[in-house]
Amino acid sequence: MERLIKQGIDLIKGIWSLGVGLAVTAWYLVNRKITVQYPKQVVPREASESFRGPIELVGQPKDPATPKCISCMMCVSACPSGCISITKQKPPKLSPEEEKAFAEAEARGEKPKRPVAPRNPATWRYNYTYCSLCACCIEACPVNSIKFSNELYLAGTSRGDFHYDLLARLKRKAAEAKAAEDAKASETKDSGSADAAAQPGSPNISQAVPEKADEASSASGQAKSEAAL
Amino acid sequence: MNEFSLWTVFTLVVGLVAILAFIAGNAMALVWMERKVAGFIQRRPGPNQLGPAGVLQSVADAVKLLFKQILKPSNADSIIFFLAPILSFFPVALLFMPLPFSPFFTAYSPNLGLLLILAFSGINVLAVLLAGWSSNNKYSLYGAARGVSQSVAYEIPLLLAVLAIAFQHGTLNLSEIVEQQGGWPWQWNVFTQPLAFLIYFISIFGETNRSPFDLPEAESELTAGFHTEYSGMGFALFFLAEYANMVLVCCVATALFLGGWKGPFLDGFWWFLAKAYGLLFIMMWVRWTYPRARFDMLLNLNWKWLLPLGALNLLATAFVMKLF
Amino acid sequence: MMEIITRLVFGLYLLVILGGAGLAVFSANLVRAFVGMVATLLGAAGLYLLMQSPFLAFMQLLIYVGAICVLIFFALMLTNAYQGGDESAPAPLSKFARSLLAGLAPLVLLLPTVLLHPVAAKEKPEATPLAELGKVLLEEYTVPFELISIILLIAMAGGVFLAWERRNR
Repeated sequence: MERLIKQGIDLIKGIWSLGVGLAVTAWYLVNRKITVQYPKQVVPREASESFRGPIELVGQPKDPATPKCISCMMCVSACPSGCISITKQKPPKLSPEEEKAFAEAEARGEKPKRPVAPRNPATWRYNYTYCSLCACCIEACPVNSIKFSNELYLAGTSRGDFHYDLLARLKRKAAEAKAAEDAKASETKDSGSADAAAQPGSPNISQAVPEKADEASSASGQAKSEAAL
Repeated sequence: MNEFSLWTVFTLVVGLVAILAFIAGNAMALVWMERKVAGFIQRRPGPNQLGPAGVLQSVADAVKLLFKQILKPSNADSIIFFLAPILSFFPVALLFMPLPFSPFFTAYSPNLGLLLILAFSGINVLAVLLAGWSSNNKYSLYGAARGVSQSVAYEIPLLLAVLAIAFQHGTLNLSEIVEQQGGWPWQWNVFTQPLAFLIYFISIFGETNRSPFDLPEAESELTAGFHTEYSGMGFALFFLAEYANMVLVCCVATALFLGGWKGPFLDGFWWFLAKAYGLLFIMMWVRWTYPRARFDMLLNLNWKWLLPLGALNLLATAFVMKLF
Repeated sequence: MMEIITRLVFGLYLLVILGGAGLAVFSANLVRAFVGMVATLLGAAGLYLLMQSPFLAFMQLLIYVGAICVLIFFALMLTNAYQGGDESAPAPLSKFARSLLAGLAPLVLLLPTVLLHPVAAKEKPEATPLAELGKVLLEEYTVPFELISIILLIAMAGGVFLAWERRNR
């Protein structure tokens, strides 16, 4: 008897849960749509910030156009897919007179300081077609010069579109950031209080659309220029 | 047939053509509706590129299916393999004939209309079986086996529910059953026979292989069930038959339980279509809400709940009919 | 005009029945034989229609095509006979003889009754109202009707019993 009552209660609970399920989907049915229609809309910036896209270089705090990278090749050897290739900078060429002066000084038994090669890399190539986004290079980097970018909307028409020159990218990014900062500074000077809605990274999707679309097109343009490099 | 005349032949032919057009149009509308409902329930817009709100998406799909190559697996029994989709679709046109869309829009109103529908809908099961067996594919075979044990099982409570209504009205003619109901909701049969309606409505999910009882086509287990090996128009015919069957069971429910073409005002086929589409919408709503039932649950629900309830309902109906 | 159409339709149904029966008997493939049987049953349903009894025709479809055939096929489906298996070997003559005997048995049993009590053929088929059919079954032939139900009940109980044995083992 007790079992029967328990079964009856279970039955009523089950039927009730069916109704609850239907109510949930009915609510969704009439509710606002929450997906982003990609070519017309893109996700707002703060949503893409946590996305781990292809790696990029980190600039020095004082000089954002130059990477922190010291060309130690740790990332190259850490990468399981071999998608990073770095060339170091050569030491500056000495003119024949300087060369001679150094030779003479050495002949005298002194130890003159010959100019050494800068630690920054000469080229920093990254083949995204092989990359598995494993973060080994990021772990290996002793100066934290590599990080994941939040590039969400990557598209290309040829394989070469995904062979990146990350040094050029860093330079372009730094220039963009500087330009944006300048513009912002002049704007605040002009109007005193900028319109809050026009701020980048506002949560409104439709607001983010034109700005992001521009970025996407510039990103593809950048990819093309890099492929040409 | 003694009332056989040229006029009957004329209405039959015109009715058949109209019904075929109705089936094709309905299937397209339903596919679009299904996708829209699915999208909205999952909080996305669904098809929205082709035409206003994506209504032309189904047309594009139909054209794609027309142009696809028809493939046959090696070692498949070729005659039966191609017979099955045809067998699945051919009774469907016949099934719509006795449906009373309105007093005027009824292709053929035999005294045994309800029986005709029940009789010919059984052929679909046979087509599923033949398709599953002749594909020479384990998934197809499992899908067919599941489909059949499910359809055969759910046909019984469905028959019991329908029988209760036939009992109440003393006729198997759908037009007459509608005629005996009134326009207002409390004059419909769903008001006098709520249990029969519930049993009927649950059973049609099993009959038409719709989620949560879509085990014959369970994608995650059986690829596509009995029509795994069908491409192009072979698949399209199964698809068309499936949607036509959905429309059919909802139309029958409308005629039996919801007063057919009668409404509170302005009687006409629009009431019939509106009610049928309301039921179809509920079927879609249910499909996108519940997960697929396990097979033993499915059969337990049928044999342990629906069948006894249906039999009790029939007994009660008979008792009440005898008493009053 | 109607007469000719009727004769033509009758011929068509006859062809379907005979063709289906032939396919059912002579086909080496079980499933094709099954399709032949379905065709025969469909043809029989057509004959009922021609004889002005759509109720019987629909019942034939509902019960024989929709349920019994499906159940038979269900069993067939689980037996996957290979093309070159033992089953495809020609059957011995004694088997043929026994099958023939079994096939003729209904004929032998029914023929005397039909010959002794012939029913007068009608010029035109007449529809029997459904209510009258029910009355005949439940008033005039109550005992045979109930006997048939008892047979079905026993068969069902037997099926359940057999399945029960299996499960317990």
